[in-house]
Amino acid sequence: MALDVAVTATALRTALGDDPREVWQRVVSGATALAPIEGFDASGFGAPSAAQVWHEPEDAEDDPALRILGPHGRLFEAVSRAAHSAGGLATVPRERVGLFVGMGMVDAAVHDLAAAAQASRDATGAFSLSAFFAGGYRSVHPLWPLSMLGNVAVGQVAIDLDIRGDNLVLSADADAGLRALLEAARSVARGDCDAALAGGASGRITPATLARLALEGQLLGVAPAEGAGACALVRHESDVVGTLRILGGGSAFGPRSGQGPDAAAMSRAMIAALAEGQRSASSCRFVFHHGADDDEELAAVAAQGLAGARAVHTKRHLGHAGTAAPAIDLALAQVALRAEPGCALILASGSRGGTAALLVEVA
Amino acid sequence: MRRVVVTGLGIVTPLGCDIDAAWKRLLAGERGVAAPQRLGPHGPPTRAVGEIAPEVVAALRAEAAEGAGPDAARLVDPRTLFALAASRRALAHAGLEAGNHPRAGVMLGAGPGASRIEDVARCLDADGRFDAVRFAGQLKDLEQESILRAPAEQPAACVASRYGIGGPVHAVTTACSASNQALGMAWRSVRSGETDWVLAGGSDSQINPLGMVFFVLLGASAQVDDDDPASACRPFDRRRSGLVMGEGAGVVVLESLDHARARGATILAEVAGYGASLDAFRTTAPPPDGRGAEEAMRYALEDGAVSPADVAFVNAHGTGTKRNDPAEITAIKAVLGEHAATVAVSSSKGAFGHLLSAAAGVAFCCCVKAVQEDAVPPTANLEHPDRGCDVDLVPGRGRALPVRAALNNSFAFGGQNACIVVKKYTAEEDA
Repeated sequence: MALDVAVTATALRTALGDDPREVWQRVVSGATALAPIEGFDASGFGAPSAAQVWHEPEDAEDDPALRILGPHGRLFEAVSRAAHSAGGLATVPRERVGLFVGMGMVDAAVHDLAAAAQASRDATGAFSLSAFFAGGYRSVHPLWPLSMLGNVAVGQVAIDLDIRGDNLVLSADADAGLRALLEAARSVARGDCDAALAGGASGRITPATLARLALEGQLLGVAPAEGAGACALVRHESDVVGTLRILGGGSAFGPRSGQGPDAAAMSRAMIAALAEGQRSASSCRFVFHHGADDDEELAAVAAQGLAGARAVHTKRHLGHAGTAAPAIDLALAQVALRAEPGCALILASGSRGGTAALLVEVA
Repeated sequence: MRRVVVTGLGIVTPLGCDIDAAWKRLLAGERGVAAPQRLGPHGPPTRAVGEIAPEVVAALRAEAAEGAGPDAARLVDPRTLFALAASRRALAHAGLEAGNHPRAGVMLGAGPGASRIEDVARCLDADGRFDAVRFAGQLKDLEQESILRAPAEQPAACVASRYGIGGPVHAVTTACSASNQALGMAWRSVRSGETDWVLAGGSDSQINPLGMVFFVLLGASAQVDDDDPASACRPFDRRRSGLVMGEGAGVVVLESLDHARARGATILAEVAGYGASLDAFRTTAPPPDGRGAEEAMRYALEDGAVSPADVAFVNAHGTGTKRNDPAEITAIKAVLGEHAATVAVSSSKGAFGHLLSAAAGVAFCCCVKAVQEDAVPPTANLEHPDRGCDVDLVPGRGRALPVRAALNNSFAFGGQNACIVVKKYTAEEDA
């Protein structure tokens, strides 16, 4: 049986804007948010382009809430508030509202650690672990540990919105963000909650972000992005025209030599999504690709008979927002399908071999 | 919906890496908490830890290196190493082997990874500021355990790669409740028919420079008598002063009953239900009435159609912190009502330390052993139960007790609560 869970609201934060319709129009028209990185000297990384949305508040150092939430949490908080309000979740008993989030790698607040490292030098000026333990560590802000836990930011959103139901936080790549959407939809469909807030966030682009991409060989193929996306889900009980419904999904694993999943794993995820959604490949008007020019993904899409669907590559325009990317794509799919009703398949993959697919529809 | 059973257990703990031997040591009241070894010579402010002994780590590394492929370099990360070791044991216990398993999954709780201050220290300019250009030029020198090399999904991905698992592979990152949430996610996946079996649980290690000050900065670390570090963590005791960090892994095979029967597997126990909730209260403290914990336990029992009267054992989260322990007992009493007086409630954190994202995975293994062997483990270091903690907390040593069903509790900073119900497997229910 298909999941049949309705999306009652979407919200996103991207470098091309915060309104799904406007962002979709900009994507369709070929606009790009990619620009040189601001905020630190990225020349050592080859000066890659990125899509940035985070603006550090002037009082960031002294803001305890920001200390706990971190930029990733603040971005998710913003879209969560919007989707929670527009989706009418405040009218659902708080114990019956779920919260499912894909959370990317959080910001390591290097400036805090730099102060501690500086305070932990020995007589020769070299870093000393003994000096660090003897007191250097006290230069680390006491709230730093909390900012390292993505689930703490999610818990803070739960406090802000008074959400107390079923929940899950997955990390750290795009497939985790998509699986969070699927887990939310399944929780609602099973009745473990009556409604859910689901989405993802990717944190501030820092030297650490670029380092991780460089170590995984992705820096030249992916323009990183800051951003967040969220949606409100309820069980679908009426046929309101234009309602986006989540019908099914699946995830699979199969590392290829190099980075990312192989075509067989991507095929398994797509087959699972179509099977759970009880739709054929021919019903899909759009495929929201994970990669821009990924031969394995293109082969898998073709093998599933989806070559006739319109291929959408949002990351060419928005950059890769990691765990936030699937929720952003979901919001854009809603706009696209309202103009051309039918199904869309949203794809997301991770660098280690995980991959996931989500089938949505506007009837 | 399909019935879901447990067919394999695998652990890496400060009391050993063999489930039967570690269970016996736990029942006997032994403790694996001690003064830190790996970082001890540098004088860390955390002076008691539940650490995997360096010689055991070396042995696990040698074991994991057998047949290692491209993932060999990743074995430096303790979380990944422990996840592989526990998975290997769980699979062997279940009678499963590496192969091509497209309908199997891996769902593991994992900590955020290690931010290495040494990496930052190498990249300071003359004024002590972080130099991004210098950092970019020294990526090859980054510590092998760095979060940048070993993100949260690495343990699950390495396990899946090693054993040919091709279904859903995901990392749950809800800190101290992560393993239970991974187990719950896996239970739902097998139950729905998405997968035939899943390696589920968790793995964690924060015994690194910043990890060793993590709970000190938060003011949650236990006070330690250097002459008796093993007694540092005292769940439910009047003298409890905080938690003691540990490391390890607990991974199990959750399998559909039909699949297990078809291959003639030994069934250890059944997973009956799962519940999760959010406190929505404070980031680092539960509500005093334990309402979030209560809701998670209540949902799990309702989900599994298990009556409070059937519950004989609660494997408590029991961190040994001032606020968590009484809130949890309040919640247990609210859920179990009059039956709370006859239920055994114990925490293994005095014996293992708090294994963080791995804690509930190891605790789940203890629940399975409890229902299998009709025995309950003790609460180590409990001498003077705190006011309000007036339930059977099993001080001293474990003991025999018929256990039809057990609850496995875990709660996290951030307010994520999870509870899973394990019960004796009986073939009759399937008739």
